Amino acid sequence: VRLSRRGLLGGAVALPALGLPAARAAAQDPGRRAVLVVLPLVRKDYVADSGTDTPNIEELRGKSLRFDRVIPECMPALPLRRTLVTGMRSFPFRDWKRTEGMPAVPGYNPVWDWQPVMMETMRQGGVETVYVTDNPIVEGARFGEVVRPGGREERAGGESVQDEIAAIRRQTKAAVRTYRAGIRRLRDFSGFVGIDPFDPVDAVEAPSIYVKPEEVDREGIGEMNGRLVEVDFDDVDELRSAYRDHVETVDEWFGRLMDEVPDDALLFVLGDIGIALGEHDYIGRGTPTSHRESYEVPFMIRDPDRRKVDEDVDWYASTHDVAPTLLSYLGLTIPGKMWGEDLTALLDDVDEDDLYDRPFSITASGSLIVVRDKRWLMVADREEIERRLYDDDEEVEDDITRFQDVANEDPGQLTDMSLAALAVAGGTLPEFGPDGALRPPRERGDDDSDDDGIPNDFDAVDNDEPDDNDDREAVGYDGRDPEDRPPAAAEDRKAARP
Amino acid sequence: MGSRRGFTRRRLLQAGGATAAAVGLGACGDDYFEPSTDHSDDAPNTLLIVGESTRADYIRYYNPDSLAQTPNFDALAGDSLTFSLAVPEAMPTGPARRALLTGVRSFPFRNYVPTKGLPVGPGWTPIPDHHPIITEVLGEAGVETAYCTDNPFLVGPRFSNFRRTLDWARPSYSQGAYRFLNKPFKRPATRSTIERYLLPDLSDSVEVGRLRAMAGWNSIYRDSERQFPTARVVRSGINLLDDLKDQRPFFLGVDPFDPHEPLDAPRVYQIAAGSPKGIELEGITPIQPFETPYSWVIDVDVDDDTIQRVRELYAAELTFVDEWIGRLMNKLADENLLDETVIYYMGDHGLTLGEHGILGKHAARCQWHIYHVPCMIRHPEGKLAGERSDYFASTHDVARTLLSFMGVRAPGQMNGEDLSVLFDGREPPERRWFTSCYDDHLLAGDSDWFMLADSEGRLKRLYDRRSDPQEVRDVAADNPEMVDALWKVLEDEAGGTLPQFGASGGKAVIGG
Repeated sequence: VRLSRRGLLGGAVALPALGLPAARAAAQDPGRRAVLVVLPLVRKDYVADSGTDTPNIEELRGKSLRFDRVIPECMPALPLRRTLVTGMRSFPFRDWKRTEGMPAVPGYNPVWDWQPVMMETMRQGGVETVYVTDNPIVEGARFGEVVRPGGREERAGGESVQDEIAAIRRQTKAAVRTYRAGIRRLRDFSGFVGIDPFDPVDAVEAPSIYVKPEEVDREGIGEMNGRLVEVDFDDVDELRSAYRDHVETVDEWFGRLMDEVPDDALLFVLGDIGIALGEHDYIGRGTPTSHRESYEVPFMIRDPDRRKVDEDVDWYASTHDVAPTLLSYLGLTIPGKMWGEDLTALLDDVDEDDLYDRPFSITASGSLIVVRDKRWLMVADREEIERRLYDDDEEVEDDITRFQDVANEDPGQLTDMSLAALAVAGGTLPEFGPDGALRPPRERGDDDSDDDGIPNDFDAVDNDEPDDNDDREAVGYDGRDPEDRPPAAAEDRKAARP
Repeated sequence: MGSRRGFTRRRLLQAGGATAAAVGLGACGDDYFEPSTDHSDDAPNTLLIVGESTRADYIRYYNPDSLAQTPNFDALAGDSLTFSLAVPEAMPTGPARRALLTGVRSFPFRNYVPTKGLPVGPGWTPIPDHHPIITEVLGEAGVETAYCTDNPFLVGPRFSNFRRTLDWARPSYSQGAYRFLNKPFKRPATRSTIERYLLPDLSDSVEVGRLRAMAGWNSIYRDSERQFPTARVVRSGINLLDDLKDQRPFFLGVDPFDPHEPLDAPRVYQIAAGSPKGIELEGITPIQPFETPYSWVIDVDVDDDTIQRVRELYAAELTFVDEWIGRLMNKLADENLLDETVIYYMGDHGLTLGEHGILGKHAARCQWHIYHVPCMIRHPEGKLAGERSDYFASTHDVARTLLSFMGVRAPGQMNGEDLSVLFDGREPPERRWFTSCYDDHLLAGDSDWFMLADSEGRLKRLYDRRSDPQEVRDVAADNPEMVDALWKVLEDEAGGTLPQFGASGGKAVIGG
């Protein structure tokens, strides 16, 4: 059957029906289920660490497709959550506007109404959703059913390392109560459940960055939006011990949670953010450290059909890949504004080399950016005036070289990494004022050379150099005068608009 | 920066010395090529037709009073889902092509740097290395890809990374007036040859050189209708189908540069569109009635009859394109491909033909003549044939939609929407407003309102499209809330801040 030549030239034609591929039509398989679990404040290296006992996370690692080199695409915990639920990169916080009740640090704002929301897309596609979290920005009709485990905020202050230890303990509590609430929701669900422990203090206070006093001058790191605290590192052992306890408690409760996760659901587990524990003279979350392990988090997918079990992927997956992957698994169309990649490609036997190129891992914390690849780690401030580069060769065991800033020795590498960050940011990195991202002032141009109030771009008539033809009436339309258009334009009025 | 995976199929390079040596670079068959991703088992073919400088209101289907005869586009529209208000996400030709081919928004030109070999102005950059290209993504999924065009930018050096993703590239260099953009034409016609095209007020403008190149080229390479640029492009498309029909599924792009100025259709079409009038009675056919990119009507001193004739010449050229697109459709029918091919037709921008005192394209007058373009998708099964959608379809939706039709996963960077869901009875994510930009001007609106502003917002003009469809009465002063709301829409769409362009030079981005 085909369109006849006559028919096509003539107009209306009855079209033949023939089967179209089933791939797209297979959307919304009603039986599919997915579970998202966030491991709060868990570093990747502490999961496999000999000194930390994490049997449950270890067991899941053995059953999952693992992404070994994941750094969240932005930090700290609150902006990262925005990325998680929107699938949009929050890097480089160009959309930051100072928000009442939140710290005046780039990245701290709610999910804007122009951003997509993973749960909203799911519900529009007929998938039920439950999200268990104490995160105040996950609030409102767009987020569907939200369960509050009931955490309360207690401002911390962040004046000493003891406060960081208290913050870690709050994270532990958030994990316990959120997983407990999650266990109840997992017993009978359809569609999607997200279990995302969040300490509400992280929404009202940006975590402090603790640094040895002499480092401030040496590193030239500036005020860091008032987050910088100079301390002596006497309490590091206590801090590390508290952190170990945290990771083990999270693992214990994660194990109980895992008992309830059904085998027929896709399970996506990731850490939210790492923590520097005094390794390279920094303590805290989202610090400008040169210590890569302080950034890296666990990230794994367990497929109910057991595809790609116990495999490692080097590709730089990150937080913004979560939403597209979950939507794709549930058979839904990914909104265009979501930037992340659909990682179900790997389950469908696409080789990691054939995923779309992501040669660098790029992240932002406040006004800092961090760029890394297999060999190098760059920490730069927003204007890229202060840039530090570390030789972070993953093949090398010795940690010594990673302390040394080699920016001046390899400016080419520095440029490559800066350009990569610029490319992901769309061409420019924003600068920040006290109330939000700034647009630089306009360069003075020759706006209105004849001073008639109409900028040159809009002005057909140059009053300074009148021409014989310069008749304002004849212009027909000068952007200001609605009436008295010449006959030439009358033709337009007649032309019917569709 | 990222390695370019698309030039050559990476599998080819990995195949090892012996195999690679045995395969000639000119080989077209893909027997040796193992796709790295996949398309759906029974994927349709896809045909993308790009309508350069095509105004929706000159297509009869959109406007029954059009000066142009467009029976083939009308028939295609009747078989298709048409979009009543499609607006390219960024304009003109260069940025619109980039969005079409990459599926990544060019708006708001934040990555603009003045680029050698392209016009100077925000938006004119090549496809960056880190952007996906639809033909690269399709190629990696094992789809045969082909593209034929005479668009001087696409055939020029700055878009070579796109051409290298193709299995079948059919560039045509026949746009005489624009040959300087790729390879300078060395035998321009004499000045006396072009007097019959040259308006007196343009007699010492840049158009002299362009017309001389055009006339020179055509005196050598053009002896019949078949040698006109559009005919060359579509003929190569028709010839490609002979090969592609055995390589299904395939993607074919047909992208003629006409009806871009000069408005130089074959003489019979010019006669059919209307009788000589205005300046043509004095022996000058106004095929290039403005100094690129635009002239104020008062500056070129043309009368109403001449403007009418310019419109007829534009209509004639569009009719000529329509005629050849019809032949392409017939070829599809002859090869029994219509019922297994998705046809996507989209304009990249329009052209102002005397409205608002302008001939050509002026960013500060980038009103409906320029932003309202035709857009239609013909489903192989005839789904939604003859239906209209109010969705503000745009150029960056094309790549994602075509990939989806073929069952190929779209890279996350492609930030258009998948419009193929419309054929499954679903709605794409809400797009409350259309947003676009042209040079350093910004556009936003919907079916009721339209705002046009310079990127500084020094002069934000608002039009009430319901009571003033011609967009001549600026009502910004009466509706400050609407102006603010649309300005915020633009800022949000740009990710929070709008880029700041330098005031002089190439208007390079200085931040924001």
